Amino acid sequence: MFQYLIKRLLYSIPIIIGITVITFAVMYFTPGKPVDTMMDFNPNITSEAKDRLVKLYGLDKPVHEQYWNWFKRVIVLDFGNSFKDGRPASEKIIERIPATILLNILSIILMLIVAVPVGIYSAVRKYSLFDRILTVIVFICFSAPVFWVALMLMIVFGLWLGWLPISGLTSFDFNELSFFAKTWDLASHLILPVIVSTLGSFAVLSRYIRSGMLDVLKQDYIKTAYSKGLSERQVIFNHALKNALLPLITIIGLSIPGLIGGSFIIETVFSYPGMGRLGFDAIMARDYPVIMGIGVISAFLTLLGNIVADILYAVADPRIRYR
Amino acid sequence: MSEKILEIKNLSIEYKTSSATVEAVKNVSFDVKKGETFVIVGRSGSGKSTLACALMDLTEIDGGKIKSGNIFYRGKDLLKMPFEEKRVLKGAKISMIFQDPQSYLNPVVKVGKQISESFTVHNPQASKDEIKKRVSEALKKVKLDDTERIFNSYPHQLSGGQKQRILISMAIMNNPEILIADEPTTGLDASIQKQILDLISELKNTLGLTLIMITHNMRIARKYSDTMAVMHNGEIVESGNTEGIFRNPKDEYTKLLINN
Ligand SMILES: Nc1ncnc2c1ncn2[C@@H]1O[C@H](COP(=O)(O)OP(=O)(O)O)[C@@H](O)[C@H]1O
Ligand SMILES: [Mg+2]
Repeated sequence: MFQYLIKRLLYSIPIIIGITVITFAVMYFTPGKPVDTMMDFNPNITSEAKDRLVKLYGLDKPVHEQYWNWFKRVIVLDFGNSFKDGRPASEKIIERIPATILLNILSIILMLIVAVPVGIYSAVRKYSLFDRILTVIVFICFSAPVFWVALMLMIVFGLWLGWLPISGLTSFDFNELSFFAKTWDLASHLILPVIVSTLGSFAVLSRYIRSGMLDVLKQDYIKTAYSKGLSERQVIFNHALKNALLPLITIIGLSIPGLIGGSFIIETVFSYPGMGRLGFDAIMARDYPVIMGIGVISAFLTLLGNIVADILYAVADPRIRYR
Repeated sequence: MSEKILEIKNLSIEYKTSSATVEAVKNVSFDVKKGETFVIVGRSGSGKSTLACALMDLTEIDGGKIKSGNIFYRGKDLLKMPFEEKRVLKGAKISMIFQDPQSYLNPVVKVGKQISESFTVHNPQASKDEIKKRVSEALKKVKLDDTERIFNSYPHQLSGGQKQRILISMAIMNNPEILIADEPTTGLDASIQKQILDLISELKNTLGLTLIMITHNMRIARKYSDTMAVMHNGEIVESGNTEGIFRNPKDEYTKLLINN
């Protein structure tokens, strides 16, 4: 097992490097250069100043050389400074991580709390009224565009009803609030983004669990369980559930990168101060060091998520654990 | 002489799939007497398992539907009984072991838990000591050694023969009256097949079981049964005293099976 892990980690290195090469290439060949976007906002920059900036950032070099220079620094964990404000890219990224993790952990918890019972119940009562209504709801959740749902909720709960704030993570007067008021302030800002980011994954997951459960209920050991005289409840909780939920581990493992990567759309629509919005802004500004920093971290987390999922699966499934 | 413990009358069972309806059991009737070994023989696909599963109330779980008929157990129609009432009988008065020990144990639950559950489900008040005692008795009856290790194992860590013994121990845990064995040796090594069959027939004698055994093997049918029924395409084409049928088969299909 230990050897296997080492091997997996070593294999990840070329994959991460490959991903950074592709990201760099896509970024480089995308129309619009960092310096141009800077000038759009500041018409006073002279063309000499522009040339100096280009030199300073090394943007005049051929693409492979630029990549190599970037790579040499990343090896020693220097992601460079943001083109936009000159702050270290790593610092800009790290300060956004907590907000995104908070949003995504809450959505994953909400997703599990809702999708697991719903999926199980619609499998156990297949084709019941509940199952049919759910099928419709799930397809609506699945097919409605995220930005549209977000805007609708903002209009209804933010503007018409005025119950919830529609942007940011805290109010302007946050620091003056009491502890409970702070908690509520934070929670009220999180409600809409959490709901919106849960909808799509809820739809996918509840269907997934439903079909997994249906599959398990057809297995032979379920017949053994019923023939012992167990009730339906006992069969489901003592025999079916664990088998049906095992694949969840993989799904949760695979959602680790999203946990930190954040969603461009949701964070941008809600002006949420997380990684997704940082990434979006960085791309709009062609802020290469920040884009690449986010790219490396996302690639690393994706691979880490895969490995963690494998380990957890092995821990949970005796058939794999003992191999 | 002996009382009838099971009476099956005009039983018809079908499976509806999206493409077709299969009538797996067609208007089948037979009686099983207390204490006898009743063998159902027939080729694969003749409806034997479907019939056996109906006796254990597993038809619906399998996606089948009982179209008509009755299954009387001691005069009471199992097909008209509410689920809760049947639940008290299943695994306690009527038990079943299945075709393929491989897939009939839950892969992610420890074997020990699966075995003791057979007892606790019908004795929810039982103390820890009592459970332990009953379980080790049952394991002794099926001649499993190394019970401590087996108890803490998962199914994939055990051999096919061990798994089938475990399934048998679960089935006889509550001293049932009727044991249904659906091709209990399929998928096992030839050397172990005989051990398992001998174990079942020994248990039948020591526990006074009524045994309903299903097989596609005519030699096994002749060796172990008192009464037999020959199934073909969902119908029972001939039934009666086993030796009588072997000496003087009436149905063409039965003759075909015997001469093969
Ligand atoms: N769960 C099921 N769904 C649909 N058809 C089935 C199912 N189980 C059995 N059948 C069909 O019913 C017939 C009888 O099968 P079965 O009772 O398993 O026969 P046997 O045990 O004698 O081999 C076969 O034609 C089989 O294809
Ligand atoms: Mg069969």
